[in-house]
Amino acid sequence: MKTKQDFPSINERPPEGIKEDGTKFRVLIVDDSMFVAKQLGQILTSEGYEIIATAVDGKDGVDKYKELCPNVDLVTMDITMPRMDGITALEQIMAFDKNAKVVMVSALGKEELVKKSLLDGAKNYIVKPLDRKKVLDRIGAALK
Amino acid sequence: MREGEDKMETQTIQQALVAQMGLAEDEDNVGLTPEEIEARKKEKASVIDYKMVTFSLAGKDYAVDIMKVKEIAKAGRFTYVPNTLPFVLGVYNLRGEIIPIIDLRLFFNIDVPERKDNDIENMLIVTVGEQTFGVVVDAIDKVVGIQKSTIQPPHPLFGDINIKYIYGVVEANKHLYILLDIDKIFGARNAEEEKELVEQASLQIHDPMTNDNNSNVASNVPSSVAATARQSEKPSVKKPEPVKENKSEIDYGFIVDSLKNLCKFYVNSITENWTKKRYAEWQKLRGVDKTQLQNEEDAQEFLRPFYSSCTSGWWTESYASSVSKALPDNSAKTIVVWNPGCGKGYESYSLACLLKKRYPDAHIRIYAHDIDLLNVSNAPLMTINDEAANDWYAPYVTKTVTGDYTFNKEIKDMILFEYHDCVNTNALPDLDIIFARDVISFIPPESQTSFIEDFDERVKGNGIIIVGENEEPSIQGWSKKIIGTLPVYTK
Amino acid sequence: MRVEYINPFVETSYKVLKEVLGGAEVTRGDLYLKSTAMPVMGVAALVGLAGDVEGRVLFDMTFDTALKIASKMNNEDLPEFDDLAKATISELANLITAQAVTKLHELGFKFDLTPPALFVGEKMEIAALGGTEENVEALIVPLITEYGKIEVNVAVRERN
Repeated sequence: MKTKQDFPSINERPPEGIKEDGTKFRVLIVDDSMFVAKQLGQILTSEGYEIIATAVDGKDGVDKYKELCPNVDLVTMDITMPRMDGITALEQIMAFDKNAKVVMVSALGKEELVKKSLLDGAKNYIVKPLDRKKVLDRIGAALK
Repeated sequence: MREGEDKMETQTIQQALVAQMGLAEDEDNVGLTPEEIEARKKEKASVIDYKMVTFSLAGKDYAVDIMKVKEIAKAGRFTYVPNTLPFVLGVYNLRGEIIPIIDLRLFFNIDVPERKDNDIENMLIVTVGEQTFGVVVDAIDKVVGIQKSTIQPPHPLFGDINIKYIYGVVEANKHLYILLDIDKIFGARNAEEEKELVEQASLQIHDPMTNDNNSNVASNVPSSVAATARQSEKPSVKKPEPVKENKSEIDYGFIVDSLKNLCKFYVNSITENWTKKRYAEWQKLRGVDKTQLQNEEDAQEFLRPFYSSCTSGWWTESYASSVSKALPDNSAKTIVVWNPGCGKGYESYSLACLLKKRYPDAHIRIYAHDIDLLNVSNAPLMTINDEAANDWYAPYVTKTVTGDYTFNKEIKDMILFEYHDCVNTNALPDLDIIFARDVISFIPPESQTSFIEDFDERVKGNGIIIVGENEEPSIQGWSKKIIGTLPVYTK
Repeated sequence: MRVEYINPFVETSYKVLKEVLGGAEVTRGDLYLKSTAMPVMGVAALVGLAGDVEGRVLFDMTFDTALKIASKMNNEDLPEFDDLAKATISELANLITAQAVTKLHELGFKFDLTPPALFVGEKMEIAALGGTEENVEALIVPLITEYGKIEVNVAVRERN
């Protein structure tokens, strides 16, 4: 006779934000919009991720990464921001730490931007508006 | 303005009017039989979304939008202002504000019982824009509520009053009310219209008021009393010609109005010659008694011969070569063209092919503008029929997979189609050619001057301007030649 | 405005607005051109455009509508038009403009956008692009929702 244990329930799958050792993946959100930071933060936190910091533009993002490294597991990076845009910030972070994991999160879906980011070292590219499933899938994939 | 605010304001004005003059709303059920009361109730069940103040003038019922009426007053002595037109009675002190008083009966040239100095007159106080006026009428009746959709547009034959002042007609409680457009009666006018008004007004002075249907002479008022006083002295007023009271002139006036209202075609110095000729033809065609334009179709029929050759269609080879002859020699590397009023694109593509042929080494750029969104949006995708594609257009077209002919990439890249109102700022580089056939005549006269000025400013020294075959604009500093059927202007 | 630009703006405004409002009813009003100093209904989000074309996209709505839309997008009832609400409306402007720009890129028109700016106030007016005394012409795309009307006001011009 099959018992409950034979059918792993969806609700019992472990939240993706938790590492195998039980600690949370730490994420740095870089976006000039308070709304996006909140929305993204909510999606990730609900899945166990920890948002260790939020940066409001590219320069702030680079600075915070340098400060918090090596305690950052992943960075989400917006493209259109004042002072320093996301592509430039991406370049600088990758130059600082070639193992940095950056996922672009932008409203601009231009093919050339996607290509450029990936070539510059981004692990993935998510186009806004944010879809919960897409966000989790792509961030999860980037962390593997 | 939000909806709620609108309704509130109406009620306030209405309540004030009712209180002020004891004006009855049609709420009186006094003296009605039970059936009539029922009928009234049913009537009210329909939506009332428009209220008007009704009054009488020479025995007829008129009405005005309640939103324009500030209040009602009964007044006696006005302060007479000299050197104004007869329908301006003077000024009146309305609780400290000095406002001009117009006698609507004299304004519309209707017989008026002789006024004694101390007679109390009934006045509507109306506000148009920033100005407040007092309007004297025979008697003010009451506030009537109606459903806006029941207002019918005026028929040219309807009133003694020039149709442009009538907003519509509507029936309520077994009365037919002529709804006046207060904005048009007192609205702002441009310099040209003011001049027209002054000329007509001065005719009125010289020809004392009679109770004929002098409609097209009588019905105009400048927008302010002060202006009136100044203008009747202006040296620019032409010598008045004897007033021709014949029906033909009146009908012509109605046609001019209908062309404007139905087709946005404006009759002035640019189109007058053509219109008068066409009117004469039209009288013969339709019969002198049936010249009126009943609807848009009628008006379009009247206008049909106005349009230049090969309008709304592909150009014949002969027309194309006549346009080509009109183009000057030009060895410039770039040729820039403005094509306002391009419509569906027939003109623009034809021009592109023609210019490519005429100036094979130049880089050609055509700015094609139109205010009809649907037409101009489809222009980039335009196909050309087989017949034309095999005619002189042949070198410039290609066949698509579906078997249709479209223009090749080179031609398409020459043209920039824009959804644009040429009356607004035109952001253009210096131009070699302006190709504006049958455009000016459809631009409101107050904007025509600046539009034409734009022409002068934007075209290079050796440039040319082509307008419609029946248009006769005068462009300062430019001389006109007729080449083939085209009016061509050069500096 | 170049006809090729019109559809991308019309389509993406409609699509994105509908999406962020959780699939709510959005009706498109008739397009028209405006060319005067434009009074703003109360809240205006402005996104600049630069590149092969220059200009801006303005999102115009009443204060009331802005608050309702921001609340809906956050899935909570925002009591006042605070920083979060402002950021939300700015993001809406960003989403619509960015998607329109992406679409235009696919059609071969190269340009980019600036981060949005938000203006809140009564009796505001947006006047012409700097440098000329004449007012620039704008295409108006009215979008009507249950929360009120939004006007997408686009003024772009090719660089000569």
